Amino acid sequence: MNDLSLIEKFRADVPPPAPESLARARAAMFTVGAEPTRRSRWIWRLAPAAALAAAVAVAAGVVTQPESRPAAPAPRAEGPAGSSAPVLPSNASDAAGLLRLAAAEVRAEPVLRVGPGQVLFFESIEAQDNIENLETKPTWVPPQEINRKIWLPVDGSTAGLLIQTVTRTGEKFHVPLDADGTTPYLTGLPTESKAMRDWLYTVDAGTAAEDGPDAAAWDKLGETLREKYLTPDSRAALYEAAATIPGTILVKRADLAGRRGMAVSRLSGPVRFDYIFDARTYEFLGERVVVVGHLKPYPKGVVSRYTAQLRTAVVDKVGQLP
Amino acid sequence: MRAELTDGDLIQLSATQPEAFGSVFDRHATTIHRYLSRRVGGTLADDLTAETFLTAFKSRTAYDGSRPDALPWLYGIAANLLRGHRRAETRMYRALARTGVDPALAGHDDEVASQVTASEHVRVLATALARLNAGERDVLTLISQAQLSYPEVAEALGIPLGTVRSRLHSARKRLRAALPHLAFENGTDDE
Repeated sequence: MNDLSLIEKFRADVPPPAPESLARARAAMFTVGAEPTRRSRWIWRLAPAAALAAAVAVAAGVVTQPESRPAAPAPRAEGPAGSSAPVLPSNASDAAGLLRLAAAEVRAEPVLRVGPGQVLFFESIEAQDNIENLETKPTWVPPQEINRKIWLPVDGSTAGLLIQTVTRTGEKFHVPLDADGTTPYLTGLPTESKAMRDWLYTVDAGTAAEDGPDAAAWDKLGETLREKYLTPDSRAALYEAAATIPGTILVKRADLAGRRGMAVSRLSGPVRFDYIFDARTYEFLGERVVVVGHLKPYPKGVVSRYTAQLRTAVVDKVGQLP
Repeated sequence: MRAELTDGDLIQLSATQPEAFGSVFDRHATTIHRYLSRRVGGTLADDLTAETFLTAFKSRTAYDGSRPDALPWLYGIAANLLRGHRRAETRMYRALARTGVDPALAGHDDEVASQVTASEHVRVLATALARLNAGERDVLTLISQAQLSYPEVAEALGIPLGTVRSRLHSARKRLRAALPHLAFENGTDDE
């Protein structure tokens, strides 16, 4: 018997934790913990879709490669090159160049007008992969597409609605959204790139920036583009500000939802975060997460998840299609 | 069962698949709870276990994925959180020393404490533990109760290996001084 073994025996008979206490702690991790970290807001928003997709994949027992699937409906048909396509400066040679071209294009767009009591409608495709059998035989399951239609009242004081449709099976899921006082129609944002850069680098309350301020700003860019409306001036300023974020690269071929795209990207460890723009019109098409490095159990080079923005419109009522 | 993914793999994976962190929780939550429970009792341990894993989850992108075992990291977070509950911890040691009834073993609030009176040397031990400083208590309990190695303790607490040795040395010296009537077989603090 020595002093260390006395300490070893001291309170050795503490009762084990109650299962419900552990279950609460586990759940709190994903609910409370999901908000403030980088990327996780997106992940969290996607989580129900991911669970849905996983459930569907398991039930069907079949998965298909998203890349080999027929293209998702594009917001408008691609006309023959040179006919209706605007005349654009020569091709971007780096990420900053592409962002500046996109800014120049968007600045020329008309402002989307909304009246009191109106509702913003966004339609997108979201796809999230899954890892099955984590503890036994971890297996990567490619992303499953979900069509996402969301209605968000402009004044934020009444309830919204989200309808998710599993692309492959046609199953629909209605999710009522409580009024949270926030508007998807952002009017107060800077319209000039320098001020917008400051805004982009301002860390929101409760947001941790573990990967550094540049990664946080890169993340905030995506947050700002997702299911929100910015005036053309602000959106242009946002692209111009993003062009000044260090560490970005240009990916010349990054197709999304059947449209030919180019991506501005930033690496975070083995994972690359792409914002994709139409290669001809420089319109923002969506986002993609690609596993480019070694990350078990991912096959190298696969797309982990993506979103494709299909349309944004103003409607009079929640549930009404444009 | 031999899992194919290490804790490090799971934590790296959780950057894109947050649910993967659930497996880290499932592997280690009971162990962390037990450690916390032995220092501050079950009720507070419930809260601190939740807080430990919440903190870990939020800082998961900072974890070095080449470290296969996440336990030292989790113990480090738990020990850090215990710093905020030093008074509660020492109050319980003193209560045990005074009354012979250990509030830490009382279980949950709605349960009646088991009225087992501790033996004399446990009460003396509690007095000694109350007198250690927090750094000494961390090292002592991580070595003897959590069974971490010296390098693991250094990693968990973010202190040099030499500090681990010196803290353990002084903690044991104080324990032995408090328990002079116990004949120690092994009075050294070699590894």
